[in-house]
Amino acid sequence: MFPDFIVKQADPAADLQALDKLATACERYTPWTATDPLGGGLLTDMSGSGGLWLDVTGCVHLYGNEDTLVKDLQDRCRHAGYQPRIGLANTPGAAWAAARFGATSCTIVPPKAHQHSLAPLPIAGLRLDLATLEGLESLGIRQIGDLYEMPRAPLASRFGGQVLRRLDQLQGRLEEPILPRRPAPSHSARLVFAEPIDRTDDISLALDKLLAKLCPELEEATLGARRLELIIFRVDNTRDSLVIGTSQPSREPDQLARLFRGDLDKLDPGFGIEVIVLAAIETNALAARQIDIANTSSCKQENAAKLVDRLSERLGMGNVIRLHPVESHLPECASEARPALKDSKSKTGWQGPLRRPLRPLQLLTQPLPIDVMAPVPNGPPAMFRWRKQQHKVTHAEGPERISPEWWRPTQLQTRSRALTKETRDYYRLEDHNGNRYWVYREGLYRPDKPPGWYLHGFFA
Amino acid sequence: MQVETLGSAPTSRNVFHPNPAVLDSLRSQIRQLERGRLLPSQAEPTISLGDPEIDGALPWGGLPVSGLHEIFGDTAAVGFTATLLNRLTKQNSSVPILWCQHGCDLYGHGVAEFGIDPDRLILVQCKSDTDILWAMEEGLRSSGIAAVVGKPYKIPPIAGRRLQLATEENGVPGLLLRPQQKTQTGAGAGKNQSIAPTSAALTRWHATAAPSITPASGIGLGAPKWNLELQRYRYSALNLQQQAQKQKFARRVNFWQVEWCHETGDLSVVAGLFDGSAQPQENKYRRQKAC
Repeated sequence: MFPDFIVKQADPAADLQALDKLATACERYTPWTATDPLGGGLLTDMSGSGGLWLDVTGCVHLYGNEDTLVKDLQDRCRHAGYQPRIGLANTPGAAWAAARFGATSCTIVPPKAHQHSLAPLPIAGLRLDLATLEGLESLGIRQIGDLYEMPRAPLASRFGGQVLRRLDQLQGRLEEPILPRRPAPSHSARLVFAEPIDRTDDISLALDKLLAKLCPELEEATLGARRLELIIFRVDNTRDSLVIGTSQPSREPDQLARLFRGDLDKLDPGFGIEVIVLAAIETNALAARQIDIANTSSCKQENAAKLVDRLSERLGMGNVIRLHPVESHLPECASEARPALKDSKSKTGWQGPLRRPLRPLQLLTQPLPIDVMAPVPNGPPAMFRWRKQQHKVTHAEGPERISPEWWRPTQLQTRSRALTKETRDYYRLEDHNGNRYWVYREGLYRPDKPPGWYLHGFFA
Repeated sequence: MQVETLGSAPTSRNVFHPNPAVLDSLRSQIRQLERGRLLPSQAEPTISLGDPEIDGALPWGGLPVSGLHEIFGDTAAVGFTATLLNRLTKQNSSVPILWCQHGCDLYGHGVAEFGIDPDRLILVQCKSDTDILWAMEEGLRSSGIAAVVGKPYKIPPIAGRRLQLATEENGVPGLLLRPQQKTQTGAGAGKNQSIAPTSAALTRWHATAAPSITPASGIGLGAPKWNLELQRYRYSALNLQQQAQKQKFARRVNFWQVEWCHETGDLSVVAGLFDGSAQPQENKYRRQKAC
């Protein structure tokens, strides 16, 4: 009947992801943005009931008035391929009802006629569960306005506190806080300039002042900063920010300033900077500490952490790494490099299974194909050619057969060619000069296809 | 008269006796310039390389901990470096080790086999020699690091001097891995011409792979064997003089074929006369016990 009809499985996770992306986009209107995946706290998994909360209190003037803000939001959503329904009201409850049951796709509830304009909306706009809705409808209550004049006590005794709570939330008698997605930083310092600044030296000076303000604050709270964000507000109402991370919580102004200093010239002052804010986005507990005169181990650890911070700041976080063992038989997956700045402890140890053959000191990230002459198809090579040089094999040890990990859906690390799903036979070889190599043959012997040989590492 | 003076000139040169007081004052001046390290002092902390023969060739009686050491060579040099690292950082076994090079090809499980806990390694991947040398100096000047290894392509002399000063001041050992020198005689072991300019490093080693000795069972690979050459070291002239005085060594021994023992992490010099390896002490003991 409908040949074009396409049936697809609902994907709540992807919906949630899309909603989150939309919320990020909406942060241009207000930082107080929250996702509402279940539709106003209704814990029913109704598809399409989700939404976004935007608390635009104090942000409207940036767009002129409410109409222009809503218009802008609508245009942008349509441009992105969504058909938005927008409600703007004094309370979250009223906005929820207006967005879903308003006459047009874009409803602004005027503050003065709050009660009056919400009255004709259906009671489903009150965010009630299905049983309550049915109960109310069986009593002939169909519109929100019907509830305004009802005596409260019988309503409460019949339907519980829910109806009254929602009604109060709608009318603003009961506070309903919106929890923003990004929590406001607990500790921040702010500097406002009488005249806009634009030189890097001035920003550096301002940074020192901000740190001098923020660090004692952190000390009082026995906290140390893990991530700091320096946000500049330019005169033309735009902003830019710089984020640094530390490997250990810290509240030493000198150290933190040094981490920022290398990147300060990346901040574009534009027409001038009016306000600078330094916020501690992420903090960890850091107890007050006795100054360590002797060079003890804790002091050494701290120095090492400071070194890691300095190196990461100049060379990039991904270039200062630590190796972590991973439980995997595949050699290239068994060791993983992670930024040293992030302290992640691995549970597995480095010692492999008992009697495991030796592992090379250096491993090639990408196994290199080599030309091999092997007397026996299943045996070790007698000679191989690598970098246009013949290597005569004098000693060989192996094979160590490593099978692909079929139980993993995809290779966890795709550092190399992700290793075709072939078995590998590893050999330790020594050539006539005494150099030692780790080579492998890919796949089992097949008469119709010559085997592929690869060089994978070097032994000392 | 003229004939007399001409004839007496060489004899007067031969019988020249320097004033010891003047010499001493000159020596003390130089010592001050050299930051009090003109002579290899016995008090300096050293580590043994595992074989008395190699240790004896060094004027310190071992490898000084607070110093810069250059290691030339191929993969064997990386192995030798790992052996040195293990020995240099044995005392403070929880303090991290900084390893700076272009790219990263170290394999954690392979490093673990050299007795170094890979969790201790902080690897720094640099894009230029300048970055490597900067990172090395930062590491050497930081007191939270057990040892620093760097693998730059080229080292300007001033940078090498800076590194040596940093390691002297802070006592953190520094190891410089250098690419293999070009040899004039092909694979002539130990006949390498030193092409690299002299640097401020205390010692310069050259390690290349050598064909290993077939194990007794005849199957598989034996212990790794390296050609190890001590190409130069500070105070070498001084040491030669002392040796000549003592008549202890007829010739200057600076080339060994060594085997690295996987069980103990020791280096042992392979006896040159017969085709067999000198077993390290602990191993010998273990074997006796087993018998």
